[in-house]
Amino acid sequence: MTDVTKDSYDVVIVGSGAGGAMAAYRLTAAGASVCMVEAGKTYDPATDTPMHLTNMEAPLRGTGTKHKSFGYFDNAVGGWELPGDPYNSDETSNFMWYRSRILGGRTNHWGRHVPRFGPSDFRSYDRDGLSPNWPFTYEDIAPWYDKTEAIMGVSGSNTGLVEHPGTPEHILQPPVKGRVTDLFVAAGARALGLPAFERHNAILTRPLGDRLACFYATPCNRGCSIGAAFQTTTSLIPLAAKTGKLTIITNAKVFQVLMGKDGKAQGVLFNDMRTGAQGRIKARAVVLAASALGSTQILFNSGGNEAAGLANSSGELGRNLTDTVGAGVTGQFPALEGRPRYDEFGASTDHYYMPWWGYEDQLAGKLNFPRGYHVEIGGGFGNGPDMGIGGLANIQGGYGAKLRDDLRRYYGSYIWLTGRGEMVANKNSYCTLDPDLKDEFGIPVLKFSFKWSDHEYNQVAHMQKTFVDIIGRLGGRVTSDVSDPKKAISTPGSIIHEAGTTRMGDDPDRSVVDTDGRTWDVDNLYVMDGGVMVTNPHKNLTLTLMALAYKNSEGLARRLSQGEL
Amino acid sequence: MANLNIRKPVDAAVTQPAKMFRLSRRKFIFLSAAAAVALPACHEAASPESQHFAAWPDIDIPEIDGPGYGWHFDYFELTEGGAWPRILTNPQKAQLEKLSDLILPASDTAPAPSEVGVVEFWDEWISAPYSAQARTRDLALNGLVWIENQYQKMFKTDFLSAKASDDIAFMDVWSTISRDDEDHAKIRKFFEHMRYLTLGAYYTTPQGAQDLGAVPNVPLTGDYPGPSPQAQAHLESILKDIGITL
Repeated sequence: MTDVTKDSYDVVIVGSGAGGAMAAYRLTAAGASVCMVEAGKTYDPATDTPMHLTNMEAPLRGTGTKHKSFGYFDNAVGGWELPGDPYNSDETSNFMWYRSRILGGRTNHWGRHVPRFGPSDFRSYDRDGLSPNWPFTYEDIAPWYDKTEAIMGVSGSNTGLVEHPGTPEHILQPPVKGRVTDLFVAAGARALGLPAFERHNAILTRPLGDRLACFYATPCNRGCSIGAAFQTTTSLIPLAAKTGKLTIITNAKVFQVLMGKDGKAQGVLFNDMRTGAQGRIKARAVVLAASALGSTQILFNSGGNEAAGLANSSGELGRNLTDTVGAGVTGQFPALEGRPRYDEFGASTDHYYMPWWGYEDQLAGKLNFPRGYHVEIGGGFGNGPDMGIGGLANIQGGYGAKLRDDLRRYYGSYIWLTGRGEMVANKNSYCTLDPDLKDEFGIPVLKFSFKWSDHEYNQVAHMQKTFVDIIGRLGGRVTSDVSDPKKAISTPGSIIHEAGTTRMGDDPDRSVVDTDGRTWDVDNLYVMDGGVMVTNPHKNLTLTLMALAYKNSEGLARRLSQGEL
Repeated sequence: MANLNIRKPVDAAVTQPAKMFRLSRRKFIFLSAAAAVALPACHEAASPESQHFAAWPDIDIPEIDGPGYGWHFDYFELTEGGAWPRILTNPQKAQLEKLSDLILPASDTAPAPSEVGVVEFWDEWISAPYSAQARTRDLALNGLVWIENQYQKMFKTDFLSAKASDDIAFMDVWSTISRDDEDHAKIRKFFEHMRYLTLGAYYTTPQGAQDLGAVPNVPLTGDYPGPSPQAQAHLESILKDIGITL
């Protein structure tokens, strides 16, 4: 075993995604020396980003494969299956785990939908008794949302709704105008008394620092060399690097927290992904931000002789596993057939959404599921035709000259409404170390157990009814099977919003980390990724985990400067 | 994370025959080579329904287990098709070229699939070492044998030598197999899959996108303008028709 450098660092951060990069940004700003370790390859958005290439220039016209699950040019380097890096799932769970293996982690590939959690999201126990309250309120975290949004860059409109808090006007950038599909669905929803708004996206519509405003072409998830679409590699990491305090090590997969006899973390151990050699990085404090499940696997493997792993005196490590609930319904709209063509690409991701509207009905017991969902609007002309366009031929069937006419007629006439809902953590959904399975370096890997409950199935049924109603009000034809919510619900893990397995709390018997993100059991070991989520609201969690990383990094920096560590 | 601009599959087929099409130019080198296609012997079922169709051949399909383009690659080095070896023979390419042009013939203003590189696409796709493409490989390579058998059965000639009127007769039969006809499900799936991939390959070319009227998205200066005046007027009109205002 060899040390990476002769010196030790103030902090070693495992992971370079949303949480890890935020920690690096704040800690280096406070003067700490930071070593950031990334399991994947290095990446420079200025030179490595295929923004303007077309699918015709890609193998298989850009169609996804096991190597590129979301399409050839998508920057989601990683996958559901990685060579030499397996995981297991019990027979009935079929849990899917997407692992990113690139500098910037999953911020290279995400929806960039950044809603704030609302007041009720932090008080779930008070509302329905099904999960703990968070150890703080919305008012406590609101200033950290402000700070995070200011550096991330957020565009959109505020809803004015209490449970969907807004961003201060001096921070929020103007929204991107709606597409025909957005405006059409929004009008239909409002006609049914449902809300629809321009949503908050981590996409610049005005310059911010060195980053430019969006030019409304090229998919965000290919990477954005101008920095308009938020990635840590164009924002937080360069800012941290400017301090001269940041060291980045890539192709290094951390597998264990190095513990001292005094019960404190001394650094981390990793395997070089290219050579298999082991390495060690020493630091005064350790921050795990390797994704919820990545950090959980590291903790399970850091217990020495303790089978329960490290920082698991509560027994909660690996428990409370959630993913977002997903289901969708597609409609074909005769009124949209042959509609006027125009550049409908916009800002790549969704412009509009429907925020959850049923808080009062749930409190009043009028709904048979406890947590909400939001609605995403897909369809339209997009980035031009792709390999899926052949599906349009199924409407009329046939071949020949008429087929050519049909394609022109039906192109852009489909809209799909997608629900993204909150799952309630349950005792059947968790991960542990598999007793037998190991990665290519001999490190034990995770095994998942997972079950949806009636809370989620009933929620999906409500989604389906809502979507059918909207499609019907707009004169559309439902083309999805809506007969069974159990068939329609997403595969566990597939929405890539896993959370909760290193849960935060104010009770050391019921949580892994405290309010500051510090593990209850190891004073200088922190977790700053989605694992700390007490609940996993339908409001996409990246903004909140970044706000927590912002807050908790400042706390860690304070302790470092005060000589506590 | 989950907001992906992935086009969703659409609904089930309601098949209707189309009667008019025009074949494009084809490469005669393929035509002459294709005449030598060998036909495996096939056993036909005896039911009356199957009298219209040759049996599905179920030939052995080569397994391809190459590395693909891998997890770590350079986008800018690995374009213009995957780096795996191609497996199609010239006769197979000629068959696929003709099939693609039967499915989507040229129009007065747009080229046929054969004129925008569909054969190269088919070869890349069918040869690819990935699971989805393996399914196509099974369906397409069996299907090409089946087509020859079917032409012998219907017209006593091979596929590439057949008259245009024979091709129309064949396509009308092939494209209208009912989803309830479980005996010929593979033949129907072969047609639908060939059509699906032909259209995908065609409309992802600049010529195809132009024929569809797709507006290329190019970098803009200033804010995104939203719908064009014409698109906005259309939207307001269709909403008015159903009693909704923006």
